[in-house]
Amino acid sequence: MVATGFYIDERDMTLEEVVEALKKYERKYGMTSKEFYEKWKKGETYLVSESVDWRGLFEAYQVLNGQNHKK
Amino acid sequence: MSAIYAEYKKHIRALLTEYGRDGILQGAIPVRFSHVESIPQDEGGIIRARDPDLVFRDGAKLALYEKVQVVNNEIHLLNYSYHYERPNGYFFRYEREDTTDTLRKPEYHMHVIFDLPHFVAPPVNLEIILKMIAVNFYSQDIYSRQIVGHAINLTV
Repeated sequence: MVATGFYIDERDMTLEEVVEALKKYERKYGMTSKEFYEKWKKGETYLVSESVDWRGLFEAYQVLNGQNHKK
Repeated sequence: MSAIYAEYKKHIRALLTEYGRDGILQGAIPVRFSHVESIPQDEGGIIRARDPDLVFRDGAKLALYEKVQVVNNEIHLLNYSYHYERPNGYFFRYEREDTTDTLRKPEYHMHVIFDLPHFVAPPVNLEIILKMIAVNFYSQDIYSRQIVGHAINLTV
């Protein structure tokens, strides 16, 4: 076994990163994050592979965007 | 910050470092944190490694998501998703997700090769997932050799 090197790159997510990740999902599935969230609440997102992540990112967005507005 | 949540973050870092030192994970190991409104600040939040994912020495990847909260001085994984995918597209994904249809989509479930169905699964965590991946795909024993390298061609 040969280790080729690694390093831990650890930090808080930025609003820009979250927005970029949300946009990627929105493009992939052809709906806004808000539309996804509404569908998720109705149990209509079986075919969204990343539904757990998308929902979490949407929650993170609400916090980060709120902080941004307070600045 | 809650000492317990801080300790949990250290635990995650230590786990990933262990698998990096063993040469199983390689390159940048990206771990991101965020708060969410539903959890008091510093009592938990999101822990995520996705796009970029964690990368294994054979090019396989693990996308990691956990929503964590300290409750009664214990860490609770409120939601999680561990998606391991090999370079040929074979994947499995263990998840804990809120649900209203507990038969079609159990709260604790897993996917293998396809996104459907949602198979019922026991609760897991990152430590279990990494151990399971290591023993099945990166050990040198005969058991692992009978798994890695085998092709499948399936129609459901």
